Amino acid sequence: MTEPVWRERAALAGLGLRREIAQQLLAAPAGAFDFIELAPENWIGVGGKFANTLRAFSERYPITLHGLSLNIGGFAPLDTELLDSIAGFIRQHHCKLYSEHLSYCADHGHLYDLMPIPFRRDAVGYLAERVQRVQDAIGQRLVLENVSYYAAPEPEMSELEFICEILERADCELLLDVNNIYVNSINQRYDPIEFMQGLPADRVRYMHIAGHYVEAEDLRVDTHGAAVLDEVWALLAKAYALFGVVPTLLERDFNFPPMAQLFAEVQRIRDTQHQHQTGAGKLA
Amino acid sequence: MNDSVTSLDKGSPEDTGIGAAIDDRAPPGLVAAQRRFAAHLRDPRNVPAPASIEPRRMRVYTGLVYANIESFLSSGFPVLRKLHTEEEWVACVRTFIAKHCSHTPYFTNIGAEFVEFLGSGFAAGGASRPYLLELAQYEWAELALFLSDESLPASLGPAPEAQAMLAMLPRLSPLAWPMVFHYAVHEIGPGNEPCAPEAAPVCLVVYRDAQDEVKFLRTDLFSARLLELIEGQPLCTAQLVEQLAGEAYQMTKSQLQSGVCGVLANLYEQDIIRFADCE
Ligand SMILES: [Fe+2]
Repeated sequence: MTEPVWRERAALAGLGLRREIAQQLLAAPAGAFDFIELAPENWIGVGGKFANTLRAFSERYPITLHGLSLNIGGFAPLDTELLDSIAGFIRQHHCKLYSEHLSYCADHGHLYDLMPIPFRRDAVGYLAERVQRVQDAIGQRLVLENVSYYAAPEPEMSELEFICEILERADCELLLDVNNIYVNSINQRYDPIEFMQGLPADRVRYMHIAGHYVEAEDLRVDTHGAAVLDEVWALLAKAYALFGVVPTLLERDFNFPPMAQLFAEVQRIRDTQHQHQTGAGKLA
Repeated sequence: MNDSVTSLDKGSPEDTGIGAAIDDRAPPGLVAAQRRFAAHLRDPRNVPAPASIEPRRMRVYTGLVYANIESFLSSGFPVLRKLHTEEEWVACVRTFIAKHCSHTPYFTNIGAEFVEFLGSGFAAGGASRPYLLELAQYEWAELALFLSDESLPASLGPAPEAQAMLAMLPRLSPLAWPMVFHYAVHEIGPGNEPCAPEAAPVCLVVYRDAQDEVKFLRTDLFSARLLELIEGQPLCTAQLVEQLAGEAYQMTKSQLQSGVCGVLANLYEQDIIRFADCE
């Protein structure tokens, strides 16, 4: 088995680094997963035993960053100190990309959760400009994730229009979260495939897939605490058909099953990727 | 960053992160909509939800915010959690979310925000059980030291002999926090809640050793005073002895000298201090 390497637009499948399963992941058989994703806000400035854990991963696996506290859609000034720390972390651990949520997580203080940006016309230019400032600060493209949301306060445009306009005006990339699209399609009553067809294919850099919680038939909550549903696997296949294969992460944040089960889900990502790479859409 | 930020809370744990300031490019309508939404999430019992949103969906958000912050607090402050009934704890977490402006973007620092909140007077129970704040400070010290990215200078072998030590400069490890409490916080737990403050100050050093284990050492007042001096301006051991000789200890100079050297050797062996050469 060769050392895992990162390649863009490649059939790679990763797992999220949670402290609860870190030791089990380090003990994983070679090839169980290709890269590791972590939230910089959980690991920046951390020393001692956790720093040793992080070093062990960073020596063995490519790392992608999935931020939680940037508050890109919020009204507080951008936290440039956080951005500097993230830029330093990216350099130190040779992180392959930095993604964040198209969301806000604070008013005058942090709430540490993802709130839905009102789909307002005046938010688009404001957000695009903030994304550009972030990209200048970190010296690379920001990868923005479509979030799951349970309420759309006073919308002036559709979610799809909102996302597309921001991606275009900010000239940033998209983290396509397939589970979020599925959850939203139920909660907001739209067709997930039609939604995906409206997204700019050339901006899709990275994908997420996850399990969620069924609160009610018409209300799904994106908890990352369960196995991926078959309907969501089908949507992932559709996403590869539309956008091509890109590195894809399995999100699992709690309620962990035996590792073999997680690795089987990672393998299923790869199998889905390979079906689409050997097909007609295979890229040179 | 954000030098212009006027903090809502005095004495933020770290002078970083977000605060009361607003991005001057933020559209006022967007700001108002976000404030309304977030205000309800912070205090769903007292602040009405935006009218257009189905209550069931709004409850998903209030539930997620509460559960996430609660899990950080109960895992960061396990003893404090056990000293609260379920009802008291829920009320405490809810008040924290409603009243406290958390500046830190780091999940690892939420504990510091919580300690600041407990000291702010918003927290219920602070008046009837003043030891809870001290317990929280102690539990946070343990977690903060476990997570700290400071490093302990390498040990140079066994503690120096007294004569050599007198000419050396003792330095406090950046991973050692001398703390003084009114209560024996390290012994508090369910079934062991103090009725009154201890007769004498409780001097503890919470520290992380060379194996990255977080420990504590209870010291006497003499050692605590010595640690306080070491934390201050750099003084070599002989100067520390001089300094203490001018204070009211009932000891001869030679007793004082062997007392200081004995304490320092012990602190050194436990990875609480290191020695450097004097300039
Ligand atoms: Fe995601």
